[in-house]
Amino acid sequence: MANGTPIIDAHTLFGFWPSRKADLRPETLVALMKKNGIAKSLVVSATGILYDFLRGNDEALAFGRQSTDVFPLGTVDPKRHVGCAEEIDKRAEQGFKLFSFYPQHQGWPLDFLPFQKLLDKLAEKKLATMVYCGEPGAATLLARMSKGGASVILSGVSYGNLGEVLAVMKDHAQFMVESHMLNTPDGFEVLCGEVGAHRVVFGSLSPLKYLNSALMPLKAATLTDEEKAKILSGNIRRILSGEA
Amino acid sequence: MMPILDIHAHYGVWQFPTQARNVDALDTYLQRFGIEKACFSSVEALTCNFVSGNARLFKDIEGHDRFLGYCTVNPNYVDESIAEMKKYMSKSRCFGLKVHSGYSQRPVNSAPMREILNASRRYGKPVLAHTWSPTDCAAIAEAAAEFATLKFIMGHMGGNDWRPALEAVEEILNVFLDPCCSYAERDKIREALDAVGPKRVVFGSDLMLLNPAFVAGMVVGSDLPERDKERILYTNAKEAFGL
Repeated sequence: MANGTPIIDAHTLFGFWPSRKADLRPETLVALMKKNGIAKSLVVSATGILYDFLRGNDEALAFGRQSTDVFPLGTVDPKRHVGCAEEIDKRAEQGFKLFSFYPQHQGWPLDFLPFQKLLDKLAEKKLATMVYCGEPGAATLLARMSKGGASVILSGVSYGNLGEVLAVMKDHAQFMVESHMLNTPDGFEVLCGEVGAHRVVFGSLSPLKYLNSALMPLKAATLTDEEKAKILSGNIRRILSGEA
Repeated sequence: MMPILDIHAHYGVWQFPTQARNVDALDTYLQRFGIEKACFSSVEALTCNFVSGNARLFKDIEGHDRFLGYCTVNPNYVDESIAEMKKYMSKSRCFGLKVHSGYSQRPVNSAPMREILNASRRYGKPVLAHTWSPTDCAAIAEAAAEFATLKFIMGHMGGNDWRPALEAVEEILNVFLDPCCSYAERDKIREALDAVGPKRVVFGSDLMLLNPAFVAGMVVGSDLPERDKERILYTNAKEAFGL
């Protein structure tokens, strides 16, 4: 794959999923990574998304300490507001470099002051943010809210909002795309042609989603090895190293 | 990668950025993804005018061996739909009938749709029906039970809410499942096979909306024996529909 480039999956999860029976055990994720040649993964705890982000971030940190192939991906539910900023401070000190938000699971609108405050805080601390923006209009709204300063990675980009996302990315250099739903036939080619391969990171949301559904379109894309290498690992490595 | 027979593809313009707009560009995709044959419905016919959409589709795919077409009908225009079937359904290049309850706002078990399905029986070709809700799935189950000689393909397998689809048609043997969808929940392919067996799940890419590799990734990544994966990607469509 792209001259043996090690793959970093920027978006995976583990834990328990209530809305369907799904095997999200840490060992399942690690086995899938090995089977599909994934060198490293960023993991978020399902507990953190769905129940208690304090406990979930503890779980992600413990998983990262237990496995050298896993980095913790932080999460906070802005609905709680009290203690959210302190949680970001605490996790940043522990080495978390990226925080992911899930309004679609937690039931808050993007135009939500508690989230705006966290977005501003993450930018001030030069920490990257990943946000689900699967609905038309979400990326536009986020662009109006983001003041720059750190990368903002859009998750849930698919055929329905790709055009909007391109428009946002052309005007806002801090915006990037996570690829697990980038499912148009030439989505990678269009994105790279319009805004450059340095703006896309590979993510799968496995084991909840099929890892191959995310990986095979990238493998089949008519991109150069250099472009694929950026998407597979170079770009997320840049973010994890603290570069904007 | 094993060869693929694709029973669910679209021809025409969707309103999102893509570089592929014509038959030659689509043919390049089919070759790249190992798709031996693909069955296309006209986007224009689905979203706007089914008569002009069908005409353009069957004109443009003429002479392209990998391409077959669906005759799209609209239950808001029953007489015109039956006329469209007379034009196209007997052609060797026509794979079957395409119905979309979302765009027409008429479920597949509605009275006008049943009139169209009744008229389609003489052609003996499959019916690809879009499903995106448990209601759609129940409708196709009812229609398939009534028109037992027709083979129905449940496009998208109910969409994001796919489990009711499996329950709805588990016992209805003339319904085939086509799981293509933006939501690639791991295990959905295995659960589909657990419900209906290995011979009633077929591959649809939803090209040009979706990347065939995205949907094939669900099959390739599923925890199934290789022979079942091959069945889904190829053999089932060949055996059931003579593709």
